[in-house]
Amino acid sequence: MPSEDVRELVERSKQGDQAAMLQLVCRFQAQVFGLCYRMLGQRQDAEDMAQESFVRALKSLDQYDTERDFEPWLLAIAGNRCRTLLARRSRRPNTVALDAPLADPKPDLQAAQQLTEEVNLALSGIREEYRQSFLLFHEQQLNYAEIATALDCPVGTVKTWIHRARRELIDRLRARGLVEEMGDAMRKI
Amino acid sequence: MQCEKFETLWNEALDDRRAPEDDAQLMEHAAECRHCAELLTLSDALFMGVEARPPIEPPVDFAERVMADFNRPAPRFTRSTFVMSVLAVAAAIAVVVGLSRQAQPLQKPADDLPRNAPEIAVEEVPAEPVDPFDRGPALSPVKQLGPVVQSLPGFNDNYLSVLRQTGTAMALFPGQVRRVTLSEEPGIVADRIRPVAQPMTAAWDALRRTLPGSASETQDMPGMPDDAKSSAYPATPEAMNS
Repeated sequence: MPSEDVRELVERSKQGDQAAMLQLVCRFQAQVFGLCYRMLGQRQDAEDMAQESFVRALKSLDQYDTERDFEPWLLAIAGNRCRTLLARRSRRPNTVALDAPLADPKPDLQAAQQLTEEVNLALSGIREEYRQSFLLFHEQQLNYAEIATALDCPVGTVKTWIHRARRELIDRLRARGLVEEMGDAMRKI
Repeated sequence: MQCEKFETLWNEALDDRRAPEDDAQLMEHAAECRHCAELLTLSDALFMGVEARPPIEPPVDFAERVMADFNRPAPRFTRSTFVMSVLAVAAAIAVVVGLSRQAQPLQKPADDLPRNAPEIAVEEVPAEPVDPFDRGPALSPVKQLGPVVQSLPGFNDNYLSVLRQTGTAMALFPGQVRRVTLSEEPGIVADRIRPVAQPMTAAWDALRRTLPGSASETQDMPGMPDDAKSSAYPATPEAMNS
């Protein structure tokens, strides 16, 4: 059940109230853009897909069941758009090297930056489904049901992906010899 | 506690968005197991690194761009709609061509008759002036009919009878009326030959007038019961001769 203000915004938007539509976009743009960015990995593509998702949602408001939450419905549209783009991408030669080697850490790098780069490197090495679901859960703070809707897969699958992502990320950080190093860095942070 | 159980509880804590360090069982096991203690350390590092990632923010004018896109009139022809239109037209043409091929009639023989059926000679009726004193066609010599003709399905009995008696009759062919005569070997008659009412009636009258004691009119002929007809007017040459 959507909150009262969201329901009201949706109802006004259905009647063509553009101010309400604008508010609706502002309200959910971070979630939609975050999802698109996490699924696509490129800012420009994420902006395009997020914009397209909102336009589609606003034009399809009549199909939205007001008894259900608005956000999962919106994220499902965004997820579909991203999957379509990813499928199109997969038919082209991939020019993005996901396993790009980490640049040599400079001595003056802050501990937090170093930690972030290590995490980014670890993230780039795991399966795409694992990375997407992990980041949507831990970074975008979506719950399992919302992620399952957005990625169009069962909740149990999402849960498995996230557990495996955690395990693989830990193993990769361990393989990088970060146990002691990160202990020191965390103390600095 | 086993290390597998530790990892399960660790995952459950993270699923519930709780800090694993707040779980007494986990901390108790980690104090005894170096491997699981490392896991907790690396877990802390992982989530600190995730939080330290720069936030993902949409452009500041994102909402305005969405509304501008929403209000933009839809393009009349995009590339995909053009391709779809071309495909639809091609599909329609293919369907029409396919249907027209199916609707074409089968190839007919040159004489417009089934094969093995030209045993009845057909000739055009010449345009002759009407003679008011004409008493009808002369009775042709009765010819022996083969059994095939008599067993033809769908052939009008009266018409056959006239044909037997006179050796000639009018028949309706596709698109025209022709006179039909029996050949020496009748053979098979095409099913599509149908009698024409008026010439057949005239021939019937002519036949009746030649029979002894048959002065009655012919208006009852079409509705005459079969048994009455057969008794008054024998249908076969053998019956007539007897």
